[in-house]
Amino acid sequence: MSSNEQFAWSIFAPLAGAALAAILLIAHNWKAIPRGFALWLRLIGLLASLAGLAVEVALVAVLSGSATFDPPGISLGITTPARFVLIAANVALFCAVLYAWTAEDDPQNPGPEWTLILAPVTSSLLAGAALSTDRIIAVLFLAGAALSVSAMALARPRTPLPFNRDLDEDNIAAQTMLARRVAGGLKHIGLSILGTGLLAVGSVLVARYAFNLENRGLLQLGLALLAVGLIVRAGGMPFAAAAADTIQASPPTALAMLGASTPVALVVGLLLFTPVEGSLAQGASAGWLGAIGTFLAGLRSLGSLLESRQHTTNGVDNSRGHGLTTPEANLLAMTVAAATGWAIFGVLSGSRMGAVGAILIALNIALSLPIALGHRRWRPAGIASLLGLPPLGGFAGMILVAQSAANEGGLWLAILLLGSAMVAAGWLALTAGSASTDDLRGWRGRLLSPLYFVPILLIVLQIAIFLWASQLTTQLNLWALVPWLTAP
Amino acid sequence: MQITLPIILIALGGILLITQRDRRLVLLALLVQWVGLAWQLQPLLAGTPGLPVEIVTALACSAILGITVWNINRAGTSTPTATQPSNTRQFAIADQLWLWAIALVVGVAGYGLARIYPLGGSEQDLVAFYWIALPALLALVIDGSREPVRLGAGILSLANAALLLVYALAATSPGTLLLALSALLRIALAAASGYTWLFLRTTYHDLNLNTLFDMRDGKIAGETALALVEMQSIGITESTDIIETDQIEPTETEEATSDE
Repeated sequence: MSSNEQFAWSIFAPLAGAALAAILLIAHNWKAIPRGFALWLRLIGLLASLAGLAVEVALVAVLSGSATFDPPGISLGITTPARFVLIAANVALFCAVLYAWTAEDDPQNPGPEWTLILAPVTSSLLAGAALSTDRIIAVLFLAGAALSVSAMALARPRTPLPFNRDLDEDNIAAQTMLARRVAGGLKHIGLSILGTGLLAVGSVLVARYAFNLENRGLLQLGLALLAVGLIVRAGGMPFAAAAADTIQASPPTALAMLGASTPVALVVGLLLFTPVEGSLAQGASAGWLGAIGTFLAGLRSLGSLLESRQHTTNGVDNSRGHGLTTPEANLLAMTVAAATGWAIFGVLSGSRMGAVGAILIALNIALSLPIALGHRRWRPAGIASLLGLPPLGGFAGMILVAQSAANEGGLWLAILLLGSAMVAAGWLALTAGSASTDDLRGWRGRLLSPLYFVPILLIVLQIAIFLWASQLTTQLNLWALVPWLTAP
Repeated sequence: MQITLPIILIALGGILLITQRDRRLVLLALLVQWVGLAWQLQPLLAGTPGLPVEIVTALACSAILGITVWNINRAGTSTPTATQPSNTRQFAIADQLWLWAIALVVGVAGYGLARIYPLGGSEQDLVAFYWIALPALLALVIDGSREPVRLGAGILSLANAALLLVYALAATSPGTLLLALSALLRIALAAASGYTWLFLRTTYHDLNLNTLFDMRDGKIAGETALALVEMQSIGITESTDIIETDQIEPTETEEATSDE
């Protein structure tokens, strides 16, 4: 297979899997198809969807160099961060497909066919974004992936829930969750388009004025738009405040897809900055945006803590959907936002250590969010990993960004640590006294439930990343000799 | 700066987007603005299939949104002016005056920003950008949190504004893939908006986002009713109380009435 074909198939393989899955799922609804055969068609659809993702991972692992396609006029190239983040994102999408299959019987979730089609489509779009060397095209691919995630969040539940003011409490609760889901989806679309616009305009300004020394002000404006666009698009604070609705009410599959797209947005954001000369742009001065974002996430976590106490006082347990109460959803959103803040600090710090740390944190978000969304028993491991605690995958990235922050003065490091400490305190206070329940009885039930065994595999992967972090860092350091990263 | 027909169309679309509350007029404003945008883009997209792509995108998005709103209106209960808070004549005049004043300020601000802060490209393109972006932002801020049609139109308009600036500031003409991706993205956005409107209409019997957010915030709870019962039967001796009807099992001796 030639280099061009490898690049083309790394984008189109998941799409082909999605197309095959769609055809099989349409066919299985035909009345002429016997029921037993229809079930097999569904199973083959699942395998086609998973195979598309697996082929992309295999191809991305061996890609090298670059390829140009003219027409349609696109250049693709592989970088070490893009390779790592695409593999991690596809693992998250793999989990999304498996979780969708598990939640098939839940009437409040959309049917699994939505995920079987949208997860591979998202994978293709994310691959296009990470591999494209044209900044605007990368940004548009990212926007497409965001729409795909929003579509998953807005997807109609299997059982329609017509609104009626005379509903009983259970139906009211279901309606409330549906309303949260729609509100979260709408907010995600709005913020994604806003972030896309900022990134696109910032990219054009940077491309136009990066080598024009007479107009440094417009270059700075372009970089500022890129920085803000990255924060909006990756879901840093304060823009992550809207994510709580999505996290509480959306199907776990949508969240796993969100967990796949956020790291790619972070890495694509870093790749947008890399051609700019860091010393010329004084880029390192923007790192504080990430530190402030992490601090705001910590403050919001304390707010969630107060909210949880109010709920406890009222004796209300509003645990819905995949077992997240409102305070838990808020805290999870803020945990991801805090990790995103660390990564944004690394990207904008202009230092090689910071950038490598940011990439490792991005990888870790993709691999730890599915753990936090899986069975309740494993949630603490996912949270600990997002907080950067050893011996899990988030530790190495946090240490590198912390070193970068320490090099710029202790203030930003203190703010970053304070933000994460407040988030951790929120979780400690929330989980103190709450007992973990195990609704899966026997080894057979646990072995057959992806919500149980997938997180275990991911935790093993997290420990492996922790152990082999130095090798990952060495490879990323070889890439990190780019103009943007001027500080060690 | 020359005031050309495309700029006039963009300005007209922006004014209608801010001032009109009728959903059909909001969509008409988007279409008018988009026609002006395509016209304005003509010299920037010369030598590429950009102009026909832009026209097809505008027609496709308008068709998706227009047909959806037409179907929703035809279905009944939701009126096109459902978000108007009051029908009183005085309020309507004050409301319209306020919106037209905002539109005027936005127009002046857009023109001023384009002249004071030249980002590159022609001044006409910059004025067109601000006259698309500012009304879109205001449409989102003024009514976008309650009215999904304005929300959808505002987001699409924002995407259009960003693309205009990208085309205007780019060093080279956009390639085929960029044109195709930008068109597909906006059509997908229109489809997602239309789907959401239908979803809201079928689920909540209304397109008003207030219902959605009330549900999300738990402001709509189970039915609470005033029940008049004998004090001794529920253990109250000195006062009456308002209780949930589903907590009471009416017996033959109790006369319970309930009202929403």
